[in-house]
Amino acid sequence: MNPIFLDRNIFVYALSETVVWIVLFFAMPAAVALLRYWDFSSYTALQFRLERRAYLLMSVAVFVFVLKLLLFPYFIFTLDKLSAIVPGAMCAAGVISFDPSGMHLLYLKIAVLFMLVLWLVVNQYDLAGGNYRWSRLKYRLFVLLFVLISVELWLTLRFFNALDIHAVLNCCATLYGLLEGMNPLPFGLEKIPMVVLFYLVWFFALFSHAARKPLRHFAALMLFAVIAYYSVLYFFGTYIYELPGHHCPFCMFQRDYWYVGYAVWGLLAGGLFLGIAALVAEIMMREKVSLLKRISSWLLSLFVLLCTVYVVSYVIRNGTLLPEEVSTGMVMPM
Amino acid sequence: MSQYLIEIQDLERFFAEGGGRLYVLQNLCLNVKRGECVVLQGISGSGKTTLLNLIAGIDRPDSGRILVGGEPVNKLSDRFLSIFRGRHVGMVFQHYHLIDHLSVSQNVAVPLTAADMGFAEQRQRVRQAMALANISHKADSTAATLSGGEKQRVAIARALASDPEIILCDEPTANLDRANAEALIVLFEKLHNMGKTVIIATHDPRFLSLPFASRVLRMEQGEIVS
Amino acid sequence: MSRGSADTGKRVIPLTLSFRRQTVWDLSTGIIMTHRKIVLFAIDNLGAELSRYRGILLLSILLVFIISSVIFLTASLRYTLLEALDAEPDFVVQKVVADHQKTLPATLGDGIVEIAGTTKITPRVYGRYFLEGMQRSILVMGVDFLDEQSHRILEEIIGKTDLNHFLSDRHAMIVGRSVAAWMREHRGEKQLYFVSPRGKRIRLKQYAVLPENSALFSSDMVLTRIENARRIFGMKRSEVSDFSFNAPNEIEWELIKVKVASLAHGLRIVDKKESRKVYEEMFNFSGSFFIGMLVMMLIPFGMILYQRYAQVYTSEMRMIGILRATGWSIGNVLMLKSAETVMLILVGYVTGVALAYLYVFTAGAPGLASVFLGAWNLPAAYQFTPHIDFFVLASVFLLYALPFSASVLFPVWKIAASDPVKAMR
Repeated sequence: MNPIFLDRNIFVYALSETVVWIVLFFAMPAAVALLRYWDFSSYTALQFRLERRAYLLMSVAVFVFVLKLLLFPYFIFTLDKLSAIVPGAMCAAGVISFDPSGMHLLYLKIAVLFMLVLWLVVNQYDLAGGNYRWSRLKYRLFVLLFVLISVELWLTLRFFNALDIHAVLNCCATLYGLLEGMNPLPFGLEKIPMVVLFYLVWFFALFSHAARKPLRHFAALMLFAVIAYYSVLYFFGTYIYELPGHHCPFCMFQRDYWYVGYAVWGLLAGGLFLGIAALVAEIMMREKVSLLKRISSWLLSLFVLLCTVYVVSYVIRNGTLLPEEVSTGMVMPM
Repeated sequence: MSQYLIEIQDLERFFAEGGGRLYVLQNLCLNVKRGECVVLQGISGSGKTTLLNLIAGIDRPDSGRILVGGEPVNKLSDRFLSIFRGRHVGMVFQHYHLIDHLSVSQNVAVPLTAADMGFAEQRQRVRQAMALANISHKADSTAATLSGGEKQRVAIARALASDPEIILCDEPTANLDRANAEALIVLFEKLHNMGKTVIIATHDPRFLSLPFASRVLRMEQGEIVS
Repeated sequence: MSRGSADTGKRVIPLTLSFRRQTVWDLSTGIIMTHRKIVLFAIDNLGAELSRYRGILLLSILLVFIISSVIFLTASLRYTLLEALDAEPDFVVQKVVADHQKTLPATLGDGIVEIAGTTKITPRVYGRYFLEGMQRSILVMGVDFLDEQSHRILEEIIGKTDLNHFLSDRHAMIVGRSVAAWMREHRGEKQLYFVSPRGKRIRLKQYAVLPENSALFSSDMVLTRIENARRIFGMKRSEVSDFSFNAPNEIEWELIKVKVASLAHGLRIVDKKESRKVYEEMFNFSGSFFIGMLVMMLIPFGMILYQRYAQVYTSEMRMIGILRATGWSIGNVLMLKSAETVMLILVGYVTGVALAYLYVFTAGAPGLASVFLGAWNLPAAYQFTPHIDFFVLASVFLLYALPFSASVLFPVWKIAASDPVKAMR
C-alpha cells in the first residue's frame, strides 16, 4: 500500500468513499428484490412490503447524492493539497494528470453525480405519478449506479495507490498551454469565434427550451457543455486570472480568486446536469419535466452572466482586452 | 356519478394464526351516502376498528374493494394514501393516541404539518378546530397533563383540523363520564349538520337512538348482520 | 371528490390527487413549506425528548472532540513548521561520511556561486552541544555579522531584538525558552559556560530570549556570533557546517543539484521540497496513526448508534404510528427522522469542535501534545497557533457525520416504514 494513504485528507476521503459504497452494497438486495418482484397492479402483502422497501432505496440514493456532492470538492482540494509535495505539479490539474486514469476517474465522478441527479428526477416524478410507472426504470438505474460507484471506488483507490510523489509531473501551463503547432480549441476554432459560438449556443439553448423543442434543446446543451468548458479554460478563465497564459481549471477554486471556481463550474455543472437529466428523463418517462429545465436555464444564464462580468470588468478597468498569449514552444511529453 | 361516498364490496381482512387464518372481516359490504351518520354497533372483536382502519387507509384489506368518492383507496400508493388520509379523513381513535410530550395545539396541528399549507393557514385551522372541540383554553398544555375528557376533545380537534369530509370515530365515549359523553354527542350532531359523513363504531347504547343517525348497523364476527 | 372511475382491477392514478401542473413558485414553495414545517416539528420533538438522546449526544461530542483535537494539533504543527520552512533557503549542502555530518571547506561556496541560477549562498556554522547540567543537547547556531541572508531569517525568528547590537557584543547569546528556563532554575544567572573540544572554556551571556511563537523549533536553541560557534565546536575559519543557497527557478533545481554534487565527493544536497515532504510524512504518520485508532472507535460508535436506533422505544413507535395514521407519508416520517439526525450530528459536531478548540489552542492540549512532541524540548505551556481552514473542519465533519448517518440510515427507514396499526397498539 502506498504510504500516501497516511495523508490525512486522502485517508478521510478514501474512508468516506468506502463507507458510501458499503451503504449502497447493503441496499442492493432490496434493489434486486424490487426488480424481481415489483408489480404495482397486484395488492398482495409482498407488494406492500416492497413499496415500503422502495423508500429504503430512496433514502440511500439521497444519502449517496448528498455525500457525493460534498466529497467532490473535497476530492479536488485533496489533489490541490497534494500538489505541494508532488514535484512539478502546481495545483490539482497536475496531480490528476499523473496517470491517464486520473482524468477518467474525474469524468466518472461527474458521470456518477449526473446519474444521481437523473435518479432523483425520475424518483420525484415516479412518486408524484401515483402508480409507480417508472419504478422498474428507477431500480435498473440504481443497480447501474452501484456498478458505476463500485468502479469509481476501485479507480480512486488505484489512482492514489499509484501516485508517486517522487515523479516529476506536468503543471497546468504544460497541460493547458497553447503549445507550438497545436490548437487545443474544439472544431479548429480560434478564440473569438469560439466565444461568439458560446453566446450563440447559449441563446439557442434558451430559445429551444422556450419553443418547447426538446431534441434541439438537448443538442444545444450537449454542444454548450463542450463550448463552455473550452471557453472557460481558454478565454473567460484568463480574465479571472488576468493572465493570458493561465488556463488552469482548478486554480480559480482557490482563495486568491475568491473561490469563484465554485460559482463558475458549479453553475455550469448544475445547469447542464439538471437540463440534460430533465431531457433524458423526458425521453425515458415520456413526461414533461419543465420545472427542472427552467431551473437549468436560469443556472446557465447566471453562469454566462458571471463569465461576462469578468471580461467587461477587465475591459472597463484597463480599456482593452487581454493581450494574446505567446505560445510556450514546448512539446507535450507523450 | 355514484350516489355513495363510501362503497365497500366483499371486503376481507384476516391474520395468519397457527397455520390457518383468523378472519377479522369477511364478505363485508357497506355503502354510505355523503352526509350520512352511520353507527356501527358490536362487541369488542367484532371488527369495527379494523373496518374503520381500512376505510381510513391505515390498513389494507386482503381482498375486496373500498371506493371513497369513486377512488379505489386500497389501491393507492403510500404517498397518495397519506394525502387522502390527511385531507379527507379525520379519525378519532379509541385510546385518543395523542403524542404525550407535545402540547395540545401541536397535537392538533399534526395532520396539517405534512400538508401543503402555510403557517398562517395552519394556525388558523388549528384555532378553529380547537374552538369547535371546546379545548382552546388548554392550547399550551402538554397532552400528558390532560384528563380523559380533555384528551378526547383534543383527539376530535385533531380529526377536524384539516376540515375532512369523513369523520371516523372508534369508541368515542369509551373512557368518558356521562357529561362529557353527552357533550360529545352534541358535537357529532353539529358535525352531521355541517354535512360531514360520520361513521361511529361503538358499543355505547346511547348511540342506538341518535336522532341524526340514519342507520345503526350491527357487526358480529367481521360481518354486518343487520 | 372526483368523478367515479370504473374499477378495472388495475391500480390507477387518482385524478383529484394527481400531480397537477403548478408554477415553479407554487411547487417549490409547497415542497419547501412542508419541509420547513416538518423540520420545526423535529426541533419541537427533539427538544421534548432530549433526555432520550443524551447518551448519543455525549458520545458524539466525545468522538468529535478527540478527532478534532488530533486534527487541530497536527494541522497547527504542520502549519507552523511549514511556515518556518518557507523562510528557509531552497537548498542545503552538507558533507556526510558514514552517515555522520562532517564540516565542509569554506571554499566550496565559491564553486556554488559559479553555478548559474544560484543566489544567496551562505556558509553556516552550527551543531548540537551536550549540556551536562541539562542532560540534553542544545542547538548552537552561529550568526555571521556580515551575512544579510542569515539576518533576514533570524529577524523572522527573533522579532524585535536589535540584531546589530547583539552581534556587536562578542559574548552575547540569545537562548530558546527551554534553555532560559533551565538557566533560571539551576544556575540562577544568565550565562553559560561551554567547553571546546580542546578544553577551552567559553563564556556566553544571555542577551535575550527567543519569542514564544518560534518555540516549536527554537526552544533548545542558542544563537551567538559565528566566531563563538566555531570556538565551541573547534572549527577552523576555513570550515563550515554546511552551505545554504536559493535557486529562484524551480525548473532548474534538478540540474543545479547535479552540478553542486559534482563539486566535491560525498555531498548531500537537500532541497526545500524534500524537507517539506519529511515534515508532511512525519505528521501524516503520527496523525494518521491516531486517526487509524479513531477508526477503530468509529466501528463500535456506529454499532452503538445502530443498536440504539434499531431498539425503538415504544412511545417513539407509537408516535410514528400516530403520524402515519393522521396523514403523514413514509417520506414525511423519513424527513422528520432525518432532520432529527442532522440536528444531533450538528449539535455534536459544533460542541465537540468548540471544546477541542479550547483544549488545543487555549489550554495547550495537555496530554495530547506530549504524544506528538514528547521528544521536543518544549516549555511546559506551549501555545499552538490556530490554523483551521475549511479543509480541516470538513475532514472532522466527514470522519464523524458519515459513519453516524450511515449507521442510522437503515433503522430510521425501518421505523418510518413500520405498519401504523401495529405501531399504535
